[in-house]
Amino acid sequence: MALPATDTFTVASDTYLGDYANWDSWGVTPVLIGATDICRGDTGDYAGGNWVTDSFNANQYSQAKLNVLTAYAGPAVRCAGGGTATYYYFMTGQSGWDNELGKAIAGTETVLHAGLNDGVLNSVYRLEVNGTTLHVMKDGVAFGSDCPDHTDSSISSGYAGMSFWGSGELDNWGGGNLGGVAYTLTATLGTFAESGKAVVLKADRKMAAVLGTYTETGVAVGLRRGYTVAAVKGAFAEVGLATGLRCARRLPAAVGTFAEVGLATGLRCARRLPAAVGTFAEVGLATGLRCARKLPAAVGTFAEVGLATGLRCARKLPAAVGTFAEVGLATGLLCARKLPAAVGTFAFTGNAADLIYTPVGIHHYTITAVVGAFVFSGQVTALRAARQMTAATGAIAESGKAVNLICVRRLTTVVGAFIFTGNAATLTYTPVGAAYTLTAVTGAFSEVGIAAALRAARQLPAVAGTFAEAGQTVNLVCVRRLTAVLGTYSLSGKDVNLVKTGAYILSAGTGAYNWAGLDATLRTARRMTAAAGTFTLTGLPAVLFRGRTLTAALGTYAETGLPVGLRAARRLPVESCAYSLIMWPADLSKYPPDYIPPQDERTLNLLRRGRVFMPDVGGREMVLTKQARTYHVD
Amino acid sequence: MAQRFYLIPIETIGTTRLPKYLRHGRLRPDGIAALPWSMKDFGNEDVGLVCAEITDEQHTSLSSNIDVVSIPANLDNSVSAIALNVVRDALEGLHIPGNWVTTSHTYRQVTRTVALFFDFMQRVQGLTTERLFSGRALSATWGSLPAGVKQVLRDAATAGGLDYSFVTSSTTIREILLNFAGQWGSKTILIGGVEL
Repeated sequence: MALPATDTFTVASDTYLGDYANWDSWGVTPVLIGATDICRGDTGDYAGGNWVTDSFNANQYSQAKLNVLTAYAGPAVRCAGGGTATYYYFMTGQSGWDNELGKAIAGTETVLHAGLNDGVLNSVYRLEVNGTTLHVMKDGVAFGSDCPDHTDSSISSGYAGMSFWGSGELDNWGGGNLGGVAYTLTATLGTFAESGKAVVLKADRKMAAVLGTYTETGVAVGLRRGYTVAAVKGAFAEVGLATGLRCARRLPAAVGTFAEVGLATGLRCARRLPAAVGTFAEVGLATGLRCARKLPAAVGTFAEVGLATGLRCARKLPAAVGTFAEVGLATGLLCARKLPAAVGTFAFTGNAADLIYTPVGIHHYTITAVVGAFVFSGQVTALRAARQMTAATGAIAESGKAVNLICVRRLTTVVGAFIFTGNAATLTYTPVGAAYTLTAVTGAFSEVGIAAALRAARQLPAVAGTFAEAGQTVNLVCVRRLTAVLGTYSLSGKDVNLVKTGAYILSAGTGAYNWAGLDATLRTARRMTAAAGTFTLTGLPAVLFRGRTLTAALGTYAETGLPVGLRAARRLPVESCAYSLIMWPADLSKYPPDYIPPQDERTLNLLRRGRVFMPDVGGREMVLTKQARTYHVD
Repeated sequence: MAQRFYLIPIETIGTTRLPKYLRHGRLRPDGIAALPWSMKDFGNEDVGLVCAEITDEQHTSLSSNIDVVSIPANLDNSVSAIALNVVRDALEGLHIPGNWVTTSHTYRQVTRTVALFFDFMQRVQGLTTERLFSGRALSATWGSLPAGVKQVLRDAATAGGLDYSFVTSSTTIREILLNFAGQWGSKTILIGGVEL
């Protein structure tokens, strides 16, 4: 027979236990009573028997129902067998005799514990021995202070059995081995629920079930260190308050639905919830996957919904196909998260959706997608420090307020449209030796809104396309370059400036160039070169200052407004215009005698001593090719 | 009521051994009603370490017996200089090694070490019904022991996972018990629900 062993003592007639199948006995042998199917001790002495058909482990138990409250009876463990009265026992029964834990060594009994309480009719008493510890239970509950755990080293092995003193009676005996070191709650099919309060599985327990429903109910439901809940198929639920899987728990499932519902549910510290196929949901308040959790899934839907959901610190949520959403308030991917996806849609929606923190030297923040649409929307959506958002094809949009790409962001796309819309859309900060780059092979690029700015050492190169900076305070500051082979370029609005001497170049092969508005200014050492076209400087005061050149091969050049002025050593050579020179008398000797501007041009009264208004075919040379006017000296 | 520890002689009634003086509903119903009580015996020797829930009156009654050794209620107190020799003599008088005790030891350490001595002797008890200290003292050397007793001690040590390679013919029983107790170190000892 296989353990655990059981016996209901069903006999046709009275039979000595020693003559009964599967049993051996000692002392004045107990008798099985045919009329009532129980086992009874005999006379006023110790007696007992043990199951001999199976070998028991050293760690074993014996249990039986107390059938009468006369004399003593109870379970025995580590019985020597062969009629030798060596065993541990627990006996109870008769009122006033108290319960008793003891041992018998070759027929000499030693009382190890004497308690206060009498036996309780029909209760099941169980004696366990584990190592050197004796443990007594009544009706499945530890006996407690009236027979607390006790250690004894005298007997190391034996059989499970029964013991009697006098005519005590037992029924429904059972004996078996205690569980191994690793306690497992294993189920092939079924539903497993931990609900309520105070249900606890402690170290080294085993709860095994092939089929059925398992419920732990009470307060403080917990699985603690080294416990495993394993299920091949089924549904697993932790419901209620403060449910949790803590420290190194594993809940693996091949197929099924997994839900953590309620308040303060959590998977903490090195938990793993792997699933091949299924739906995974964390719902409620303060749900979270923290610190080194892994929720891998080949196919499925992954959702974190509610408040304060988060994936923090080294989480990985890889998925081949699926939809990934973080929705609600304060969602965040913190510290070295990776959300790679081959195909799908990725949305971060709500307030304070952030990708935060960059580990030193590594671009850990990656949102990679081959095909799809990527949306960051809402408020304070930000990509900070060393984030990378790479997309092969698709549309990339950041919209809302305070949309920022800060510190070494890169937005690289092969084909697509890129839009930064709203307030304060900026590319900020240039690291040493690096650049903030918005690169596109084909497409349309726009920065729209207020205070859109490209600052220090940014590059916005484009092979073909349309580039627009519109609104207020559109600036190119300090060593900016806006290079385009073909297309239309416009800087419009107020305070359109090219500032600071250096390689500030706005060059164009063909096209139309407009500086419109107020205070359009070219300052020291700027150059605006155009092969053909129309050039207009409009407004107040349109000025070319010392050493500036506005050179044009063909076209129409106009300075309009008041006061339009050319000052010392400025040149405005224009091939197709009338040539005029107005100067002061002291300077006439410097110029050809017939080089006099017409009278109507004198009325402009704009040029002063030493200034020349000099059209020129050659463009960059101060050469007069025609003398059609007269000198006028004031 | 307080939980207290004692070293009490073991008395045999019929074939049953139990601590002297204390009540037992079936065997000694008129004993001192210090219930519940638990006992850890010194193997086959007639002394047990007893833990009992006891009233002051019952304690007075029990400890008034000259063959009962009462251990102070507060186990975490150190053995005082005045009590040191009393403790040593009390233990040695029961064939329990005691000269290792110093004033740096607490009564809990002393009680736990005594329980470890008892634990080894229980392993001996599982192998033989003979008393080790019948006509023999703690100072008896290994070389003086009969071969059968040596073998029982070796077997008990092996069963307990103890290394007895240190034993020479001049090693005393006292030294063997002390060494074995030291080897067990953190072994769990439960008596009356109290872990020593």
